[in-house]
Amino acid sequence: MKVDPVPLAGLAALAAATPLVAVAVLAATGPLDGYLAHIARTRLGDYLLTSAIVSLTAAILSGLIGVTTAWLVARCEFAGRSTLQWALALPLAVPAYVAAYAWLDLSQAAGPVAAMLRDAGFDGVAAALPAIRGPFGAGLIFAVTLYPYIYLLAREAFSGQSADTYDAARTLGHGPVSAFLKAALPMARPAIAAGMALVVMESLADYGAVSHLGAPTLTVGIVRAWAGAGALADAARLAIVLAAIALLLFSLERAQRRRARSSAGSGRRKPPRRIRLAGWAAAGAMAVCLFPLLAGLVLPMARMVWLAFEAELARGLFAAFRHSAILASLSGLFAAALGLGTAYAVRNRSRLARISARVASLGYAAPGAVAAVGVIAVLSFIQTGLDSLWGGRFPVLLTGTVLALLFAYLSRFAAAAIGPCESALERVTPALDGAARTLGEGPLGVLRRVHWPLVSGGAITAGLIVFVEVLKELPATMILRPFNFDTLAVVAHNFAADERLGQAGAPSVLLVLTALVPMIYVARKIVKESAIEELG
Amino acid sequence: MSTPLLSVRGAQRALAGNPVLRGADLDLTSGRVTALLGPSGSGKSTLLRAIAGLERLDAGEIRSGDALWSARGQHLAPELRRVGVVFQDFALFPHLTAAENVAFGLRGIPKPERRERAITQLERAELAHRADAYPHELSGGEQQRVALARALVFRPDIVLLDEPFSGLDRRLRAQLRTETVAALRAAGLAALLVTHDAEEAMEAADDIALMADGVIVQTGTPEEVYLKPASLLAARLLGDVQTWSGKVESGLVQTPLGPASAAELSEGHAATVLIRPEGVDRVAGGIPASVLSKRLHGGRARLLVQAGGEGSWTVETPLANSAEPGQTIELGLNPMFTRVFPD
Repeated sequence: MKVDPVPLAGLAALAAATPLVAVAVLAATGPLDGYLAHIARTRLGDYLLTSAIVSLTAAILSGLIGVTTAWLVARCEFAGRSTLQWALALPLAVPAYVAAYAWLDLSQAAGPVAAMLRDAGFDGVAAALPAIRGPFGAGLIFAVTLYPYIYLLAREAFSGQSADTYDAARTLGHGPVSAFLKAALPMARPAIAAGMALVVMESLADYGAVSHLGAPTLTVGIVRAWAGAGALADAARLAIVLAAIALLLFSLERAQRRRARSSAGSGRRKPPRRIRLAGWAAAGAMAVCLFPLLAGLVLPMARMVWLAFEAELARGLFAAFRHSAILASLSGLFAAALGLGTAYAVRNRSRLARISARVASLGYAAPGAVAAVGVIAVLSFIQTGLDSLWGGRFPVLLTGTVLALLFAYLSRFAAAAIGPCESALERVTPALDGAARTLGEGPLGVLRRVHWPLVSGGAITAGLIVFVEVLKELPATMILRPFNFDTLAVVAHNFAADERLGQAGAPSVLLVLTALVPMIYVARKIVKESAIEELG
Repeated sequence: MSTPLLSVRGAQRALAGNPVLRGADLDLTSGRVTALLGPSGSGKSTLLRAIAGLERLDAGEIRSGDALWSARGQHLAPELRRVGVVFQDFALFPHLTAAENVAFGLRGIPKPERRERAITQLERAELAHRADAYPHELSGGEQQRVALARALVFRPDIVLLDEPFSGLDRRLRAQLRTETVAALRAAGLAALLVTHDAEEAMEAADDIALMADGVIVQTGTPEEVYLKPASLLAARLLGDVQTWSGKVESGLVQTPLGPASAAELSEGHAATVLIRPEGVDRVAGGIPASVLSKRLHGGRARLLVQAGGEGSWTVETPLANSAEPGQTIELGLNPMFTRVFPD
């Protein structure tokens, strides 16, 4: 039996590409209803400026956090390091909007911190306390929730660098700081740049946090154009702008990652032995690593738990949880299958497959709102076609179904599944196939006894990453969800938008807890695997 | 011999709880290349790193002239020692060109001059035409030469080389070894060449320090350590050896390949005779031995022979004066290569 994986790769590419193409077609051919002209005159400039401030703030701050923690964890030894090295990835389980709810609530003038300060008699300090809101506030929130992208890539770069290059810089007359800045940091620069590109892409794709914090970016503009004004074609035109920016960042990220691979250093990779810190230095390192974890995960979660206990439990919570779980699990499964198929197709050196994989990975560049607009466009094209074939209104409505949602999720996240599958499959060298075959194993037996044990870990990781992403996803879900079909993200957002933060607490907490379990597994696995690589 | 430029005394260092250096002594002298030879895991690289200042000492000391570089609780930072290091696999900075790599260690000089000096150094290695290439664009041999240039350009008094030829293929290795040693001698500095290749050590070095289990077991010129190994362990580090255990009788130990002189040992003492394959000669009237097999070994023949009914022995002969399996030849021990150690 021989399964051809190329169609799966094609499917992944199709899922990723059609919404983007549809957005482009719609933007070019759709009716001009004056909304865009209105927006261009009024708010487009603001959207762009806010987007720039938000994403730059996020990139710089998360870069500082990610690089510092990565260096400490990769090159220093101190109490708690081995736990911190995976725990530092966990804020990825917290959607930026949940952190935004919690931090705005904590920091506002009517919030608990200000109240405590006033009770203690520090009215002046309480009044001067800056509330976390606006573009800079949003940038800060993205920094503490998205820095793990930079942290993970930089950690890998730092621990993969041969320690010899840092030592060489030391013997050539550079002190520890100078050696770090001149040798270790430049070698990790491509990885850091790739991480920053991801942070910028994610913060531009966000809807929940920026709308809550009053920092309307382009994504907010797209959602408003569609949901507020019903102008799908103009939403598509705004989406084109956003998609173009995202594609630019995406190609930057890819290029930097390729460089990251080629700049791993010359020759043998000797794992760097970590510098043992003691006393104040160790305490300082631990504090530096705990800070982002507190800011991105522990404190916002504690605040949301507190709020959830203070407020009445919202109705429909369980249904929302079930919907979230079903959508995330299905997407995870499909994405893992598509990812695995694409990885195999690429391995078989099919030209079509390589192109498909490229196209599929483009999907990651489409922010949720863009993907959603694209899916609506695709489905309404199909619907129009069906209606005319049927000679009337076709009995099945495609938009507003779970299918439409899954389509959007896969178009965006199938790309996230290809990477882990590909790197898992890299371990299955053709020589292994040959060895197993000469040892008397048939093709199916090779798959079962050689491939699956080596690849399953990667496929599971891929599925779980998509699971977490879908769980957190807000804008596409809001736009595409079927009537009366709420997810945890949507429920939390709706309550928060209504200023009923108490009720937003329970769904937020439930969402983060659901995401945290697979995130812990994934984070530990990533750290463990690179540890094996270091040894090898 | 002039006074050493650098001396290591009783160096001890444990890594992750395992003692790696257990009291190593070593001297480096200006104008001489010292090879540090030992099997992997013997602590060679750790000793090199301790001298470079990349590793601290738990006990013992490292001195350069009057300056104390390392001792327990005392450590001069590597950037202040100004020791040139060629790392295994070279550790070139991948983000810098060859010239920038070489210029990296030149500090406090205006930039144009820095580049000029880097280029001059590269010219000496006949690599000036590759000055603007990045490390990944260079061949293995070119990388090695850039790494050496980088270590020499700031004119250090001491250069340490950690298995600098191990990643290269055989022919290139011989050529680069000759080049490198010539460059080191020309610079008149004290060089330490860490290697696990006995041939490389004997060919390249003025002095050889044999290291095993974290201590230096013998130091001397290549000829001294090869012909007069201080112990069985030292002998093994420099080539193939075979042993025979016996007793001293009338100043001799009888082996299946003939008698070995043991004049300095007391009568009746148990002793081990060390026999190198190249230390057995064909002599007329010697001990008869039947040839079991014949292999070529670097242009000479290695015969596996049986003599005196006591096991088999490996004997090296010139190819022109060899024998075929099945023949019987007459053998005797060459005293120059034969050593007897008391048990």
